[in-house]
Amino acid sequence: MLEIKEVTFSYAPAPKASDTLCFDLTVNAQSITVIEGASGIGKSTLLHLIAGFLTPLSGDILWQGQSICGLLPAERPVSILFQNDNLFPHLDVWTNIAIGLAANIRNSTDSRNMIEQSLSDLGIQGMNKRPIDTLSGGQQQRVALARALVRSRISLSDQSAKRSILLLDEPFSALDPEIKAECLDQVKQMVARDGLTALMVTHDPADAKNLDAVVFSLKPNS
Amino acid sequence: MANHSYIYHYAHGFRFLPLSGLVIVGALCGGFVLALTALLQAAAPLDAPQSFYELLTSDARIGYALQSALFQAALSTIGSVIVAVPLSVVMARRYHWFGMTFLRLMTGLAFVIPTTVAASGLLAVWGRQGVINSILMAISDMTPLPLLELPSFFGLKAVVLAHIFFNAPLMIRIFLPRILSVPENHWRLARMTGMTPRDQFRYIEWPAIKAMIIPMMVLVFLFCFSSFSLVLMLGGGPAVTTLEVEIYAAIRIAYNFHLAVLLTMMQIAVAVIMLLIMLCHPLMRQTMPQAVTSIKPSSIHILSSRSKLLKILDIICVLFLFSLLILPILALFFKGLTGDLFIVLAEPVFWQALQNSLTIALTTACCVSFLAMMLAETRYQLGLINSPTRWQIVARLLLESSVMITLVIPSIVMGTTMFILLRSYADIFAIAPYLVLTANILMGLPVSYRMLSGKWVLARQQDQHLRLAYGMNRRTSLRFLIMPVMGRDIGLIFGMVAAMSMGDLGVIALFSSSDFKTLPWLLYEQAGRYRTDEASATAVLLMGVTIMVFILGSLTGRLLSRAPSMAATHVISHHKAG
Repeated sequence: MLEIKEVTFSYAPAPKASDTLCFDLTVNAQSITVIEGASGIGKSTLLHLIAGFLTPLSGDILWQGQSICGLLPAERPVSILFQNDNLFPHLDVWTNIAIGLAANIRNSTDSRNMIEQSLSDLGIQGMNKRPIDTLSGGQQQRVALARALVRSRISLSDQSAKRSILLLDEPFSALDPEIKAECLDQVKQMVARDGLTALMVTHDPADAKNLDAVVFSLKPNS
Repeated sequence: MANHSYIYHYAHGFRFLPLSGLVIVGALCGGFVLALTALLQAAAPLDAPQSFYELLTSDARIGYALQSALFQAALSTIGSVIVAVPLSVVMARRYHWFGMTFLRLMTGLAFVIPTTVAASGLLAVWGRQGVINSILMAISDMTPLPLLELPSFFGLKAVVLAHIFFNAPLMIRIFLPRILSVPENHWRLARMTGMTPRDQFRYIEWPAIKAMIIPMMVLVFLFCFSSFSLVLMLGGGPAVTTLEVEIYAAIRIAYNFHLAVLLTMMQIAVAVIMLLIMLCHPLMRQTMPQAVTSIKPSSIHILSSRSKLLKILDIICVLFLFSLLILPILALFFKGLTGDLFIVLAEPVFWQALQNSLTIALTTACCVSFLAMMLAETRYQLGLINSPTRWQIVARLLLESSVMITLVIPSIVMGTTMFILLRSYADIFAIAPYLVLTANILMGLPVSYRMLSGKWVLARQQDQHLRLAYGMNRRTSLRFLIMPVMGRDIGLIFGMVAAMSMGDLGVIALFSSSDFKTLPWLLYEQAGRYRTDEASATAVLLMGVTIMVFILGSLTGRLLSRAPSMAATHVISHHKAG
């Protein structure tokens, strides 16, 4: 279970109550949750707080009952997909995924098998050496999903826990409807197959329906 | 129909601009052809060599000058890149550290500070009477240790250090914005995947700058290869030299006109090769000065490491850059202000030189700003034609290449060709101010054109429809649409060209006389006679005046960019009507 307990955050250097964002929600493990809300309400901020890119002013974030607030982003059980710039354009598909395993890529048999498996699970096998700029938008997001998948399948260095939280920050909003539906289907399969907990920010109400997801609507000062 | 907008535009009175722009281009091309012809004619009766190899072996000094120039340029380029790459990375990841804004500002110093001043500054630190030697001597006096003293600073190391002083900041100004413009999500990915600083350099920072390394090295190599004043002041004799210094020595010291012509021909050959590389390679074009853009980091997620060792290493890097850029200036200020400042100020020759320098600098800046605007407008007008005829395509090509040719031809070569062209018709030394002025205009034009044209064309394209829809005339368009957008850039160009002209020790080296001196030449003379205190004082004054003309340009730019408002007029007329 992922618990966001009275977490507050502000982008202002001297925060006032009016410009402070407050979050309080509980997300069931091995489920898909969709976060909706108007622009600027703090949907992406919530994901960045969970990922550790931002530090809360107060409150706590718990995963399986343990606080993750003091951990560095790399130590958290989290993988994230952004709307754009998920991949390093100068690296090929294989290397982009391998970075998810360890930044100082080691070419072991295990890691090779894991990457091959993730490519196959996402239907993009045989693209190992393809440069990123030769892929379509949908293929690029699937490569990013493949990286999240391999990350979820390895244990964190000093724990038995895995990176089971998948944060999706509008990753498919720029894709055409058909490709988007396919990607959402891949997410559904990933969550079901690997027991992930997914949080997705979206502007499209149909996404929640397609993912059979629980919906949280963020409201001002909610 | 294809040329509709072009024809419509012409009907609104802009016809004279592209035509006069093309006249400038014609004059530049004509001047180049004339200079080449004059050179070939001058060389012809002297058994000019028929091939490059013959030219190389026709005089021992040519081969040696070429070898020496290549060696020092290679060392300077490698040194600059070794300094610039790690410092760019450090300056990006420590963007918010205290004093970094000042340090970033100081990397722009290379564009303003005269080479003669920089040379004096380096001597004030590393020279026999410099700060380091003074400290070593003081230590020797206080301790029983044997006398500590730095070896003579002049020679290869001084030239290489001076080139690094100018070119490492230039590289940083190209590399730093590229690192800072890495997408924010890549830094987030770096944090999420736990990249170490080494991984971060491998996957993010190095790929961001990699493409510009070779083009920047080529450009810096070209600068160092054709370096004149730094080699003249710090080379310490014939051992370290360049073709330019040899041309100067052939004309002013050895009176060997034949050698000067051969060296000039060789330098032009090198310049043309460099120009072809610059025009053909797309990345090379990016290294040339573009419109100045503000540098801001895209993200606060730039560093994923909290390593203390890395912090210490970064502090060392920042201190190194500080000592490289600021220490010579501080030492020079200290030496200049405590030395013979008032003696220099009391000399009439200083005031005469200052007057000459200021007149030439401000006239050059006015001419170059105006010409650059005309050429930028010509480029815009030529770009409007959708289906250009053959001559219009040729005109576009000529515009780019004729302006760029003066970028790669050093001022000494310009001076030598002027010398050859005019020596039969006029007293060269009597018309020296005009020759220096012409050479400075030719030197300032390509950089200014490159800085102005991109933004100018964009601005003109953006307001094109509005202008045509409301039938704005030339004056209204210039006042309300162009100047508010371009004013600051024009001011920047004015300031830069004036500063460059103030500090130039190029053509003046050929044409100076007891009747006509500029401040940089006066400084060179003082340094050459080992009057180091006077030279330091002159250098401080020269730097002060240079910074003042640069600020004058910025202020002019602000004034020009102030958008005129008709609101006040409207209110007054409204009240009158009421």
